[in-house]
Amino acid sequence: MTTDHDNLTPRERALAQSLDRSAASFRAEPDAGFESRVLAAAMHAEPEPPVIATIRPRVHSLLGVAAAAVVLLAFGAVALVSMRGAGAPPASAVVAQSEDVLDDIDAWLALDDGVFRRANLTTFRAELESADTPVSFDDVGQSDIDLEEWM
Amino acid sequence: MAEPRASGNRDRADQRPAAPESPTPDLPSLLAAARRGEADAWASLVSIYARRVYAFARSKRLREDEAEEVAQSVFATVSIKVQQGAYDERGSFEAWLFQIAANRVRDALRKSRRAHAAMDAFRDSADAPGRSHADAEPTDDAEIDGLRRALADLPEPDREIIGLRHHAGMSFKHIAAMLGVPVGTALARHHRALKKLRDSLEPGDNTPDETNP
Repeated sequence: MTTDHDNLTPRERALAQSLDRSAASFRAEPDAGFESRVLAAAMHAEPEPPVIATIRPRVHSLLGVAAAAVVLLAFGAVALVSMRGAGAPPASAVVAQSEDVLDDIDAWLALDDGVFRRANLTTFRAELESADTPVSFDDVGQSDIDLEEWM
Repeated sequence: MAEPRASGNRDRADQRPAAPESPTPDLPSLLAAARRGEADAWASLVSIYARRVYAFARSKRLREDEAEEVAQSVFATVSIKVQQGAYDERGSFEAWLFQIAANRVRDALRKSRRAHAAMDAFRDSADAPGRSHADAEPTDDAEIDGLRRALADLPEPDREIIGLRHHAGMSFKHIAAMLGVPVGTALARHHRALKKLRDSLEPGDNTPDETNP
């Protein structure tokens, strides 16, 4: 394709015309079937399917997940131990405490049967013995106990 | 479906000013028909632009097969985008098409360089003679051969403006639109590139130019 070179000086115009000849030589290179092949490419072109991101397992990401899991487990264990320490005592401690209290109650009942029976201590002992959780001494009807009388 | 100016004819008529801004007077209706998938419209577009895209790719030192691959890839992309309505008719179709072509040429050059680097490594290991990809393929025209060798040694921006103007056959208006610069800047770049090319063809010739008429 020859273009207008009026904007150029005569020497540059000659050079530009040589470049045009070079371009024409390039354009003449393809064979007669060139246009048909390009047309076929245009007519049969189809949009590429949308790219779906694929998650591929990688060694470093697996290691990262494993490290995160270890950290979470460690924090979970620490938190569990802390909660158990701050809240209800372990079952073995509850049993031990209950047995101590029962022993004490038995000792008190042995000392003075009358006073402690009136203070519902016998009932309390039965509840304590069957309870799964610690039983408070608040449940004992202390108002019924006349300590002055007992002492 | 021969490209009208592909013959390399050097007669005077071929050197007269053409009207590159409007290679076809009815481009909008051609594009509308192309959008509807009409084969005749696509054949016309291919006839107007395909060899220009090919020549542009060849000017960037791609081999013949690579340049044809670029032309096919460009038209495949243009076809998809036109039919999807991705082309904005308010812009210059030619600038848009050659922007796609420039991108494809860059991709092809990268691919080609990688392949040639691998080939060079093989040749080095085999101690066999080889030919650089940058070597210009000889023609039967010594002047054109020299010109292409000198063009190959120019910096990329200079080669680009010459490629767009002469090998792609674009107007300065479309070149400016494609490069995103004022028309005056495109003209100045072209002028500088030609001067460098002339200096490399005629070293030591510092004869001042005549004033532009």
